[in-house]
Amino acid sequence: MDRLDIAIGHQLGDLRIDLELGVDPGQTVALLGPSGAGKSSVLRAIAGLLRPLEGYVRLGEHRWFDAAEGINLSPEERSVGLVFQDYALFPHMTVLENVAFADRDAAPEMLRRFGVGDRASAMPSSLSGGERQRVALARALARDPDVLLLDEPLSALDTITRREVRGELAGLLAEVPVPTIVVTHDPVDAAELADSVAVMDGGQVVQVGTLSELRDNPQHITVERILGSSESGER
Amino acid sequence: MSTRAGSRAFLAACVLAAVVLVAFLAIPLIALVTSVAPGRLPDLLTSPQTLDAVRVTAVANLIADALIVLLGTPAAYLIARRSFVGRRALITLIELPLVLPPAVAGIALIVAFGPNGPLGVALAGAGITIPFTEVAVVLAVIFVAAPFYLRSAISAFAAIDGHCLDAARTLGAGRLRVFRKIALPLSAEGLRSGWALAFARGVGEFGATLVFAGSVAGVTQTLPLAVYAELPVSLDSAIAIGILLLAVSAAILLLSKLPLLWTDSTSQSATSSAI
Repeated sequence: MDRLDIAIGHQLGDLRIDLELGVDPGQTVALLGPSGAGKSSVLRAIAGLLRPLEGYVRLGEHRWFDAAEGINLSPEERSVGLVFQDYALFPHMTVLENVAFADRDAAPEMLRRFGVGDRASAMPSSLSGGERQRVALARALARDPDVLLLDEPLSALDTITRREVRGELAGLLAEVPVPTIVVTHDPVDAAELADSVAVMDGGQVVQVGTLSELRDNPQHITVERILGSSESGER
Repeated sequence: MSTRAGSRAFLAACVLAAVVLVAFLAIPLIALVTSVAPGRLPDLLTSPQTLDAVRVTAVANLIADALIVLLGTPAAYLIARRSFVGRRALITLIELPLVLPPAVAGIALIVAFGPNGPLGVALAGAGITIPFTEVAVVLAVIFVAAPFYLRSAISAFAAIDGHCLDAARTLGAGRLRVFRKIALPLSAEGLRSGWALAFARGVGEFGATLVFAGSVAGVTQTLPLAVYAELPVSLDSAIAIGILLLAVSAAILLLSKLPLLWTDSTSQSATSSAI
């Protein structure tokens, strides 16, 4: 397993994204910040869905993107599992077909592993929020990716399901051996899912640390604001 | 006038308007269908000239529709899913033939493919003449019918959730596989209805074909042109061809609406008690 290193500079309308980040194998980093901070764009840049103006994306010695060298591997050439905020399950395919799209041989086993083996022939529209998330995760991991990216993985769930799924997801991420980045606007999600938290605002990482480090020693107004709003307790 | 009386008067006005308009649309069609005894239709429709017109119409529309779908589908996908400078202007240009008088479309094609036209000169160099040939019929149908397919296909492709296409790429699918396995199935309904509209427009095409391809029996005379040619000779033959075209149009419309008809019959949202 290899370490993920990214340094990207990009302009999105009025937002200037400038970010450097390293994630070790088995480590989960949460990109925590308000809407419009550029978090999802970072994931898209890593996955190859957005071409930054500057910088690089490297996995160990492999360069997936290097603006200076003109290297830009297509999304299918990178080994990334990306779980979208709305899960992006293919609505015209069954659960099994969704996962088989990534890897036909691994699909039945992945569905069993994620506890949705009995829903193999169901259509995505008939699944509960929690089941959709499990299918999306099974699909993203079916290709055995070298990097796992999750974009607001819990925001589409209702409060009760969210609490249940958060625990399941935390257990799963603890076992995933690859560099993992979770985008969230919720400090509770960040605390439970990630080993380390990078707080983003206005396209920049303003502070990195464990949640307790950030809470004890906030060095930016956004860190204070986000963590302050979470002190009312877990939702 | 009280509110209740006003409401009733408005409802009555709506019903009256609907009855008048539906009657106006339906009566000529009913008159057409009932003006010739059904038993005479086989004889009227099997005259050599009519059979020739059926053949010319079928061949021209099959070729035109194949080209419209073959070229139009990837073109619509590109226009729908890519942002580029001049995209809106391009879509307007594509839609222009929808509102262009058919005779003007015919003249435009003659100017382009005629002996002095930009395409005509190039083709003449290769010994190819287009105006007033079977090829001209195909080109006229493509020119007037393709925008119907393109417009519907662009809307259908644009309506696909972009995350599904992105997810497919990250799952290892190249652009072609994403197009085949995700984009095409998710836009199938829009493509089908666009094709039906284009086919119906193509089968009924008259003005551009007359100007650009002429009305030579057995060569460029399509069914709508045969209706016009038969009018002074045999009104019954013209009516019989008209009934045939009506049946084809109705069948196409019905086929394209089959999935929607099913949806309407099971959906509660299609009707409202507000009126």
